[in-house]
Amino acid sequence: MLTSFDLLLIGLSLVIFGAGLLKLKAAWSQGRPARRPGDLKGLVLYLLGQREILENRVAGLAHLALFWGVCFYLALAILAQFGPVIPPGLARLVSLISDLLGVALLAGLIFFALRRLGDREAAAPRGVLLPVAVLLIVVLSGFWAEGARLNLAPEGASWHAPAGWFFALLSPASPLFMQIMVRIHFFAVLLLLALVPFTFLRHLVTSSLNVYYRRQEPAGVIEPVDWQQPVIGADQRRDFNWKQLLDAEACVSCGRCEQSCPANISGKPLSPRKVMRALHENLRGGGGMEQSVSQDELWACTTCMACLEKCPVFVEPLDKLVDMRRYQVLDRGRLPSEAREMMRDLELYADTYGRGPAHREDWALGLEVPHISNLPGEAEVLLWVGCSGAFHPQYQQVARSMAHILNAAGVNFGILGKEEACCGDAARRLGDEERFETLAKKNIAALDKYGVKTLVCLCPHCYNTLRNEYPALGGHYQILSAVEFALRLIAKKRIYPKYPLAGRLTIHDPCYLGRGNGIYQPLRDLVGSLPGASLVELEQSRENGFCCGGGGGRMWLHEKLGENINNLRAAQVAHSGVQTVATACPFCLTMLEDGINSLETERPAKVRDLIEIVAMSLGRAH
Amino acid sequence: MTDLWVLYEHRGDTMEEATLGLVNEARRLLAQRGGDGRVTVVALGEDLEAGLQDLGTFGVDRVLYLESPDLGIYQGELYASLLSGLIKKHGPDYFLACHGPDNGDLCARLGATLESAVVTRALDLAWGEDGSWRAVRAVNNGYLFERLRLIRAQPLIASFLPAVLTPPQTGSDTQAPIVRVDYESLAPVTACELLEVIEADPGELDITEADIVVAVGRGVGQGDTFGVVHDLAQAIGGSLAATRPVVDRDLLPYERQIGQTGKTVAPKLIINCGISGANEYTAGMEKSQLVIALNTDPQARIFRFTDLGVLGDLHQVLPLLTQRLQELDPERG
Repeated sequence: MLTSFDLLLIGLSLVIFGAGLLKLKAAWSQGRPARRPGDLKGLVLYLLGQREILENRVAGLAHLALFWGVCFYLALAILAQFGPVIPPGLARLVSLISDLLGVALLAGLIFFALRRLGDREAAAPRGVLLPVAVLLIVVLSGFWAEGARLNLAPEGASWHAPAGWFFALLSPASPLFMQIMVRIHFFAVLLLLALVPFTFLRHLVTSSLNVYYRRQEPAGVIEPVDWQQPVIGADQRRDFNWKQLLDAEACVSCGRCEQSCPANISGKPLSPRKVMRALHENLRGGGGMEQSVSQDELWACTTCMACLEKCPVFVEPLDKLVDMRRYQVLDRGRLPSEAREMMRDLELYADTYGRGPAHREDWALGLEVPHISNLPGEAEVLLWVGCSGAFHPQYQQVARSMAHILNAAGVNFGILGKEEACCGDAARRLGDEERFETLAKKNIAALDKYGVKTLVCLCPHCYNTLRNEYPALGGHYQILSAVEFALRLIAKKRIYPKYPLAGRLTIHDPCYLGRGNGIYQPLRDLVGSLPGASLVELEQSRENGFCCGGGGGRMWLHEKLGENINNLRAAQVAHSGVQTVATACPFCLTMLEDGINSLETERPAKVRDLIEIVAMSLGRAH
Repeated sequence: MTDLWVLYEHRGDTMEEATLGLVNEARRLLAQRGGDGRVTVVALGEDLEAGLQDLGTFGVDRVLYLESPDLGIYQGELYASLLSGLIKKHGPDYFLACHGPDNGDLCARLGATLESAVVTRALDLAWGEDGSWRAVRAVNNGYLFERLRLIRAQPLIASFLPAVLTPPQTGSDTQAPIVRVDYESLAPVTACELLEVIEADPGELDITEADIVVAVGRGVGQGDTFGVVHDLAQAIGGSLAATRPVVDRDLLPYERQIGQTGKTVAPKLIINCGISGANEYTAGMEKSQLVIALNTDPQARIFRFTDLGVLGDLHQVLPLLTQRLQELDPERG
């Protein structure tokens, strides 16, 4: 039973734990306000199953053992204080379970300790080994106390305490030894509790909170700038919002983001983990992020969202990088020089190609593509062509294919024509929020002018921006991707693909359809609905899809460090041995084609947009 | 009688069109001020006579010709000393030049020496209602404009942006007398002496500055095959540029990359060797004046942008072209 000295120690430990938590909260509360509704059900389900953590099999299982082991013992210790009377049969079962969980816990601990010791990365958080060591002491002293108890007990070792039996062999039958072990166990537990807020164990609290406050909207949606703030974008810790700072506290540096980051894989200095570490250090040390995250790191991000997909506790390195880009561009005037021309084109001509509104409808010359105002009756959909569809010579063919599909299906559709401006995706992700807002408001005004309700977007970047980012600026429409709409037309038997596809085909998932908006299956369904389709999946597909290297404004930036991301992806495609790569994004199309050409293989795979493939199957190729 | 002076613009021994544009402008100013006066062309240089002969037919009344081997290339101090001497002696009312780096410098020097109004980058000159000249000029690299009133203009010195000058129709078959000015009598005073002009290697010129660009694409191939392109650039006096894949292979530095993630060029002549012409490349060279392309693929997109398309392997065609160029101009290469 507990003595008053013990109670004092428990109280002290709890006070240190509480004070530490308050200090932690004070750290992330320095951030700007942000609205994040909590999700209790999500948190409970998450903690029970830990599905996200189990994505990484071995570490996930080790974590699961630790989590359930600690929870079980904690519950047991608390229950034991009430001295419940339990039948001997149940007591033996509990004993067996606790023994086995203890072994699992020990194994998990040793796994984590070895993993950290083997990690030579300087960015790995310090102070990880201390709590692991204390936990080891807790477990081992527990087992030894159990072993000593069994030596002293009349019935001796038995089947319901196998680990205790093993430790009994290593301990003397001395009551004093047992008492020492029990005390060590008790002190170590209290020490562990007091250590929680000050070591990486803080993730018990912060990561749980991060799961609770996780993003409810699709991944990669960038939040608007609050123009009332003294600093636009973020450099100092106070420039981030509290959720972003909580992210930094919740990150345990497991490195899954780094292992899936295309910039990191292709040999660029960027690592999402290092960015989160830098912000974490910054919360304690101060100074600007500028000093810890270099320009080369900052501009290497393709905003592919692989880090968001992989993080087991929903930490988001992306919005920090975008906020830091905003600071560089809007506060420091440091947009990378290669992108300046494109940004000027956006300013003067409202398109990324610098052709101007006068040429926005050139792609549709000689086709039946009416302006939205010239439609008989109400429009079924508005076709959002995008800059690439309107101006890029190759993607113009995709736009023409889409027009053909819509006409073949008898869809009453129109376009905005000269009144369509760039959606602003590249400007926003390159940090020029002002440019983004100007373009977005222009588009929203034009769409509202014609009372547009449903839009079909050719380009996933337009799709993501219009669907997920325009509502914050007052633009509310139903947005469909061209792939989804084409699939719907086939399902409703409004078009009949009849010409079979030749050769094997694979799908490259565009980040902004896939990870950004969870559209993976419609691409496969669309291929499946075409006659003669023989689909081969790439090793990295769907959630694990590898970026083409063109997102986040990288399309306009020079890739000077490491390997070219598109070449890496092209090599994966070549390895699959397919004749055609189908994708659904103008950037992916250009980047992959260039990557495949760079390989200079005998028979390079052809890169096509799915919409083009559907139009070919309808018997019309442009 | 109003005397309007126009500075003669030339490249080598041939006249530049801008001279006639200035003469036209001078005629217009003269008409605004009542028509009584004459237009004088002032020429400084060496061996310019051939170009000066026909100026009369464009409405020039006389030509002042200052010839000396020292005037072969522009030297601000010397030119300003000579011209200010001439202006003081003859007392013209206007001195008009075509704006460029040299004349911008010259006009500023003249304005300071003569303590008179200078309008550089001029777009327009007009006689105001209050009886003084009004001018419009470009500032901030052409993004903004200013309107000026010229208070003290004896003479009025202006350098016009070439874009606003339009040459006149040939008019009469009158001859303008060429008056030679004695160089020695002007006794120019300078604080510096020119020793040597260090010529830039055309191959080293920034590609956005070069008049001739030789651009190379993936078609140049792997390994040690770059020599043929290099030789051509040398022979034609062009600056070497490349597409992104070539730069990625470290065959040329990033400063020489044309296209969406590189530089935008608009040279007088661009020769595209082994370039298929993806949109990302052509976006950086569409505004070039004369475009020649050499490619093995007749379907290559680059041929849509060319004035002259050559079907062939650059490794076979370029050596022949280089050889021919060297025959024409043995000093190069």
